[in-house]
Amino acid sequence: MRVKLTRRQILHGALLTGMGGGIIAASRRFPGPVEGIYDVVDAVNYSLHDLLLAGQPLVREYSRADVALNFPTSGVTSPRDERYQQLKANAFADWRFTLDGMVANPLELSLSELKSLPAQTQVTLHTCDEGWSAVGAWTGVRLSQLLQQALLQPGARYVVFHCMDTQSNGVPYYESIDLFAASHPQTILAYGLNGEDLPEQNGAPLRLRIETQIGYKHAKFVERVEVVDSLAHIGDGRGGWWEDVDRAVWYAGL
Amino acid sequence: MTDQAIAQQDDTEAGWYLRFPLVTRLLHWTVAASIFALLWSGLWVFNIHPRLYWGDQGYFGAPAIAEIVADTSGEEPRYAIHIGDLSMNVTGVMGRGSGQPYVRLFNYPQGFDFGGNRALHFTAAWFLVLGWLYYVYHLLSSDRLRQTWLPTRAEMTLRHIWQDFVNHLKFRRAQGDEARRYNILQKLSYLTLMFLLFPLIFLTGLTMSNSITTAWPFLFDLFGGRQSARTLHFVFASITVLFILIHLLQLLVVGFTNYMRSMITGRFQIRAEDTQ
Repeated sequence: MRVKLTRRQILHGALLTGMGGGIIAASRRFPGPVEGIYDVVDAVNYSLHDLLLAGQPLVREYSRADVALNFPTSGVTSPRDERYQQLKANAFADWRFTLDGMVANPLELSLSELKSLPAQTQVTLHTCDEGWSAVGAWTGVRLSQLLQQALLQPGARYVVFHCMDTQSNGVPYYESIDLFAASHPQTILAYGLNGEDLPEQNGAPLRLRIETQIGYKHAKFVERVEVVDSLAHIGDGRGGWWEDVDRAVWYAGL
Repeated sequence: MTDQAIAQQDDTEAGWYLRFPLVTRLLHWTVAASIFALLWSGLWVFNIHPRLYWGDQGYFGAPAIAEIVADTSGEEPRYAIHIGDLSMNVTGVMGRGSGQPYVRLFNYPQGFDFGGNRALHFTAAWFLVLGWLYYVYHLLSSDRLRQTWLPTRAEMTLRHIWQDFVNHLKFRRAQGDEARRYNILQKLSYLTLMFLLFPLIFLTGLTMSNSITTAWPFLFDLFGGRQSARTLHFVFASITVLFILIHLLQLLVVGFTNYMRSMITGRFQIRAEDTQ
């Protein structure tokens, strides 16, 4: 049988094939399990936004005059963990930050050692998935600088943040981003807010600022950063606490 | 039955004709389902923080232009919607707050599922955007836009528009061949929805995305800030709800069976009494 295709049918076929191929490719490079339509959409958004941000553009910065007094909070505002409260009582002098996993040179730093590294302050709009947004001036160390110092091993792909605040299900908070987002110039581990030490409710002594993504990715009370090749063994495998317990999307650029 | 077969019947069977081609019907129901899912999940998410602001910032402690507020000073808590200086008592319909839903419709039946509703919103948004894109392409490439949607010069007179408005108020239905065509108010509302409201809803939605505004910061300037975009997104969604309500009301007025059938099977009957 001879099939004669019109130009429009060829165009439609090419478009559909391209979209199908794109969806499959996006699903394959997605770190989490792709089990349903939400995961497919998450994977597509992740890949499209990676293309959009390929040049690592900077997020808009605001003026110091814009910062919100009483910066709002969300999630855990005071970890009940005894260990945390003891560390806090001593102004985190006994607290140590570690960076390990797939690195040749694991780091272990005290808070004052972190503060002695080259610092960066950025005045940015924090947006929460609940709907609110507020401007804060965050001071900290570029994550990319710490990763460079730790010497990534081949195969490293994701950065996991292990936190000190135990959640309602008895598991401490955790989150993860990929190395591309981790290398954004405004992705920092912050120890200061509006010129002061980071307050407890905002994640003292150290929290993530990942300005290209939404609030729940900005892990608070961070004490360990782990470099991994896969998120399969982190929590239930979806890459973050909200992702595992509440079907939150892993790629949270939106 | 294929569209061609239906079209052929136009000649043989008086009164019947193909009102909506298959592509229109498929897209109509895709868009309808997407909008329902978007309104549901959108209201669900709004329910977590039922306050609207203007500008870049907005949070508990900052002034809101509209909000659902709780007054728990009395014996029974009272709830009100505040819009500027206006206050509307909504006790019994909305309420509770602090971890509990403001809108009573949402009782968190299966756990919290805030993340799931956000995921639903993004998923339905893709279906709406793709459906919209395809329909715009279809309208332009098939000449349907010019044939059925664009007003003619004669229709674009104040007198004609006013006459059509009066016809609507009097529930006067189009007769015979007139019923085949969209009237001027129909044309104008579809054009507004398709080429103004939907694009604005997409853009204000995108302005709430951190990575999108990193790539396209001008979106902040276009809508006056992140919170303004959120507020406008809510306003445009409310206008869409209004459109749907009128759309459904008109379906009842003009004849539910004939029009519903035409959007499912494509076939529309010009009534015998209409053609006389």
